[in-house]
Amino acid sequence: MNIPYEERRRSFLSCFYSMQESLPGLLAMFFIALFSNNLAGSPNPLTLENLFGWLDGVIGPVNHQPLFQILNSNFVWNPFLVGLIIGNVFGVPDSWKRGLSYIHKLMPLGIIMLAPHFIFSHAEKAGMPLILLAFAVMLLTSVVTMLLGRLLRMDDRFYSTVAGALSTGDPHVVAILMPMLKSKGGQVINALGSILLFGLVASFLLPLLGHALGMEDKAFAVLSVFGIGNTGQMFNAAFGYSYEAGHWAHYFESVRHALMPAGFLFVFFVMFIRARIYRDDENVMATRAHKSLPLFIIVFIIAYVVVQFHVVKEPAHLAIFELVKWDFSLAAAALGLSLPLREIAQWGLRGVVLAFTSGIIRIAVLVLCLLAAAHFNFPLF
Amino acid sequence: MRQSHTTDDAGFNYMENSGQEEHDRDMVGIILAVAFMVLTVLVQRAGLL
Amino acid sequence: MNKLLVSGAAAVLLCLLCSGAPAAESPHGLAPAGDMPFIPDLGGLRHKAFKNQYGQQRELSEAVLVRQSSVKDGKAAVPAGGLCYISETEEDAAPFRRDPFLVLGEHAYLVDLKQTVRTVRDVNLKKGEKVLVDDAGYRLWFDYATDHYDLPYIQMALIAPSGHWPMEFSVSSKFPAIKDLPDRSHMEGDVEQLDEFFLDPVFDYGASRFEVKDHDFTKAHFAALSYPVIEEATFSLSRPVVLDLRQEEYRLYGTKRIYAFRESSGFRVRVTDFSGSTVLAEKLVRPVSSQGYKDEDKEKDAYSLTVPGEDMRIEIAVQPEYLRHSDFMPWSTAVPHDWQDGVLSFVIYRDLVTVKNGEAWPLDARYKVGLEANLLTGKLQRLTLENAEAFTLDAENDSFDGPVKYSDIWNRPAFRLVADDIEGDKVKSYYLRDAFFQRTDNLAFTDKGRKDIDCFIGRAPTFISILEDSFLTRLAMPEFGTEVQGSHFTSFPSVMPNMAFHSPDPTAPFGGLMRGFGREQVTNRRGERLTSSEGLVIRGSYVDWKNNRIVIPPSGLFYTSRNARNVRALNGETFYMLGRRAYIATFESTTFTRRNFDIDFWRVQPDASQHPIYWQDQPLGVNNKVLRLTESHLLDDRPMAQINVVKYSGNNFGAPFELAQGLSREQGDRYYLHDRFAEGATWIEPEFVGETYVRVKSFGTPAIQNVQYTYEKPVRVLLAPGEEKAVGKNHALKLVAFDEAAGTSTVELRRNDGSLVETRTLGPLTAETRAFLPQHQRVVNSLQFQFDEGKNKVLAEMDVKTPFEKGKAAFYTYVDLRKLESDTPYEGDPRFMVRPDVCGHCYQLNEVLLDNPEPIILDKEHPRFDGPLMADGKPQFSIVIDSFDGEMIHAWHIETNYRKRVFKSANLAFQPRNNIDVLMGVNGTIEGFLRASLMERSAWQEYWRTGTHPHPERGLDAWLAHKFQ
Repeated sequence: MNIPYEERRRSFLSCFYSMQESLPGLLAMFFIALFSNNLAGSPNPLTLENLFGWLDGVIGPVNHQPLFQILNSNFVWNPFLVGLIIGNVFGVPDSWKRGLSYIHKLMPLGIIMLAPHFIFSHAEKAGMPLILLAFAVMLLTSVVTMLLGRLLRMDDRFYSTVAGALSTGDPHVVAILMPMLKSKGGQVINALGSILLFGLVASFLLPLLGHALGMEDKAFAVLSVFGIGNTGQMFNAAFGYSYEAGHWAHYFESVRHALMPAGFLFVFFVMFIRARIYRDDENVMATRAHKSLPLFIIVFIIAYVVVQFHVVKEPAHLAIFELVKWDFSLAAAALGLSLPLREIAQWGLRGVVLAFTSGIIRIAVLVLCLLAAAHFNFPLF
Repeated sequence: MRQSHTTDDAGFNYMENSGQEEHDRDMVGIILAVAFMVLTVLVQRAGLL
Repeated sequence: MNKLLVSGAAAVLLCLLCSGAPAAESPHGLAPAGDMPFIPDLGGLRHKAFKNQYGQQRELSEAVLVRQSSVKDGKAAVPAGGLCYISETEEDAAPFRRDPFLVLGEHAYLVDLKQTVRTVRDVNLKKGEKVLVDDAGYRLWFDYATDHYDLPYIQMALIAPSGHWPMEFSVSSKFPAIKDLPDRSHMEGDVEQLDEFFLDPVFDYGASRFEVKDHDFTKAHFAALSYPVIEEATFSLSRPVVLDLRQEEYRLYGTKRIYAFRESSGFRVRVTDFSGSTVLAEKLVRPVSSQGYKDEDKEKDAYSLTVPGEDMRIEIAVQPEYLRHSDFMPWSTAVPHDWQDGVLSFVIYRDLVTVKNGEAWPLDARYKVGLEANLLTGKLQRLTLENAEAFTLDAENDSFDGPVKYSDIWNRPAFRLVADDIEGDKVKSYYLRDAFFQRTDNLAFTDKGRKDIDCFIGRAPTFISILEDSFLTRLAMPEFGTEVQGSHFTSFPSVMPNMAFHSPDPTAPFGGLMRGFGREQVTNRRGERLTSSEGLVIRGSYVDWKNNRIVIPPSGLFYTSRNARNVRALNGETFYMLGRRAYIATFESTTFTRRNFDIDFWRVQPDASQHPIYWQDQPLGVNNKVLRLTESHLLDDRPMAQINVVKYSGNNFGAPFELAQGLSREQGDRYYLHDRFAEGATWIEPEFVGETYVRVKSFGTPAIQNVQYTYEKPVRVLLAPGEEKAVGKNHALKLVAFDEAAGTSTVELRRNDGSLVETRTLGPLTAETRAFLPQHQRVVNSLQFQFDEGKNKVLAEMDVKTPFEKGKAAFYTYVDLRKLESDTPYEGDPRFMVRPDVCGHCYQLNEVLLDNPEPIILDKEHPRFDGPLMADGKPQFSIVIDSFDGEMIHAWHIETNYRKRVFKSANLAFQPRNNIDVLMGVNGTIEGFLRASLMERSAWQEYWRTGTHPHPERGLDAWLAHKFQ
């Protein structure tokens, strides 16, 4: 019999539950993380990451990039995949569930610790015109995606997740947005899959477009970074175009990084304000559950502002990022375990349609801007 | 709908996150995040990193 | 700039042509195509350090090399020996030390060697040639010839079949030999230029000996070349089994009994079957101890028992407690002395494989075994396996298997070379797959394809020697843009109070040729063509993140100008001086001498912040040079030391001093090294050569005080007695008299206004004095007449080529002389100090350095620093920080002023950096730094190409690779 939390609560630490209740789930997360990623402090060589690394070697690089990087294998994806397989093949024992609920502590923890990753000064080198263009395109993409999502009559949690991840160019933003928007696990993964699919297709087709338009290497790099995002895939596109474009893609990626929080916060605030305005509309689900602005978002924003002043120096940032990897590896394992495949499929193909439509519009806008800049000799970069 | 992957026999759904429980979990996350970050920064400033 | 590009392109072409030798020639000792792809990492080719029984570290690496291949008509052809697997140790491997060795990816141990010395007589060759000296494929390379007192000396290398050579050596039959070095132990401090120039006709290098009989500038005849070769090597492919040894008792090893019966000089070891009834082998085995001579052919048999047909080799070794039942050596030691605290144990090696030099690989007759010895120690350094027959790859047959490897799982090809897309004369796709089925990227790199399938995969150090002809072009003209390696950010920047004698960060970007840094071919009065070039080096810079600034420490920024060889007076030789061609007029040098001092073995030890620290340099005067004892070996237990002279720039003097005492081939030693050393005007005589320090009895090397130069081209004047000609605007030169037979001219120089007049007799220029030209300043000074002072200083010198012509005397006149005085502010820009560097052979000017005596601070308010001002008042270069956030540099570049235009380098922090160390321009100094970091730079080029982030090599790891420049 489930005793309501409020009844067993003695302090805020009650959310840890008892050791006996939470240990099995924590161990499950821990071991999934341990066999998924090469994590700081773990010498285990038998990880999915290393298995993919070996397969990359066997298959050989695609456009000089490892295939599994193009397929987005990383510290979130790997444990998620392992969790998903275990959950769907063996199910999830009841004894794990208290422990797995730690995902809700790990998500705000990880999100806040991501703040030192987004430093604006790292992007300054690209110059203000390009930063402003990237910013404008990012906001435009999220607005267009959200509008299109409404048009497609999609669940608002679903389309806003797609909007946030697509506009920032980082599919992992779906995970960051999950506790913010209160999206469903299935929506998050469906959105992730849709965006990855779009990125994959786009990363192979974009070089063809670039060649057809005779784009400069640098311009094409800008197009891949802001038109696709998602590190592995944009490198696939850029290096598929030329080596020089690939090198410039590395250079401009810092801009995308620095702007990323602005992108997902924008989506969050749009949905949050919308939910306040349409309080009684049952179809407005995103962020609805938040009674007020969640504290962890406020803390994240404060941290984001503070780190801009280089409070967290580089070695400290690297150390914190290792913690973030641990954190998201554990959380992704729990998320993977939580999802029966049908729950991902349940949200249908509309995510794919949305990601492709919006993504193509974004690429078109970017191409126009880049061609116009080239035509009018505007010093965009 | 009861989801066997996330809900145990007692009806505890680990993906469910709301109310006081959500508040407490957020609080734990925030405290740990700030603590980790402050600690790392201090350790770095003390020359140990 | 066009000129630069053209010369660069010509260099590329030359490299390509040189490497594309006819397919009929043996590929042994030859380089692959200069532009071949290099892939540093492929899982199946290992690169790792292991320790031997005594805890000595051995850096092992494997590589696959393809050379002298060609693509034609849809077929890729590889000649016999063109595909080569190399397993290499940076040190050496000898029996009785449990030295690790990689054999096709397997961690093996060398257990036995059959060594001999090969002597080849009467080798003739011309400059530039690499001639085969034996059937195995060793080549002698005549790299370079230069002169002293107009007599030639030559620079050679013996190249092993793999392409590796440890060092170039200088020999000459025209000068006094090292044995003629007089006792100079009375000398101390600065003494005047010495007359003798030493160069030995024999280069003795441990187990090797190369004797030149006769030579000139273009050809050489070697009387004999002796070098160690290895005929046979036995490896054990598994960890040895270690058993307690108890006298008069047996130990069970599998189904065998191993008895040990005590005898006065060891143990009689008897191996029997399980029941003890059948004796399989019996022999007196002496316990192994660390003395080096024990692996000599006549000695080694006493220390092991090999059981016929049983795959067992038994040794008795002192085994410390922590090594029992294991070969895991937990810590590193530097000395191969025995363990004091161990007990005698049986060490049984199994899975034995014996390979013979020049014969088939046991598992695969398609491959021929090569065993190469370390030229110094004569022990095994390299195992090569190369294709015995030529092969071709085409559409039907697109792959060729590497040699079959021994494996615990299943014996399979260690790698496979695949060329799966050949179109006509171009290969569009080829790659290498390792024993774990992992492949490299397409080695054609671009859609353009390649005309050969040459490549180098793996990190064997042979890579460095094999690229000697082409590395500069590879690094200076990168196919994929100016490479910038991202920094590893730490809380502890390496902070040096002064960067003199230190090299820049090995990850410093190399900007290559840049307009504004001159590089051109110049011709002197004798018609000799020399490359003259200048550059910029920043070293030791760091981000001071606590104060949001970038610091370049004193001597952290230097301008360098250098020619392909020293710059000589009396020849009208030029060098670059801040973008302008300067003509050298005079030089003033002395011999710096020191006696009775100790040099400790150079240790590089990290502090807790992982920065390598060393403190054993012995200074030679102030801001001149330092001595470093960089290598130490035991050659049959006699210590041998390698001492290097390190220049102010941080580069090494070309010839290291290899010293060992008490060795003599006559008394039967396997090794010989000189017990003193002299090359050119530099000498060293040790009192004692120890394992960790050398006591020096006497040492001397040239030091330069000043040079005078002018930007105005010297003018040749012919004067009859009494005739007078203007020297510049303010002076006149008059010939008073000359005596052609005596080789003297008496001249008068005066100010036009008559306020100053001087007369001097120049010469004599006779056969006797000519024997000291052009290097000896006493003679040079006797032929030069300096007059007046300050900016009005002029000089007249006898034309040494044609001093007298048609009853007239010939002179060169110099006006507007300027002076570069060592350790004084540069007169054109006192923010910089002059540090001229001298040729260690010959007292001439070798390099002009201008460096900063004070730290340079750059921050947001001061993002720009102007380099030394040129004659037109503009800085030759400026450092411009474009984006710096207090801890990371995101964008910075160098600007140069050239022909009234400003040129900008690429962003030198394309990936974020924590210092602004940089190498710009191409000259000998920069080349030295590049060569020292060639392997890592090349590896980095590859990471850069594909945009991957290598695992960051930190502090000591990165730096140790450059320990010995």
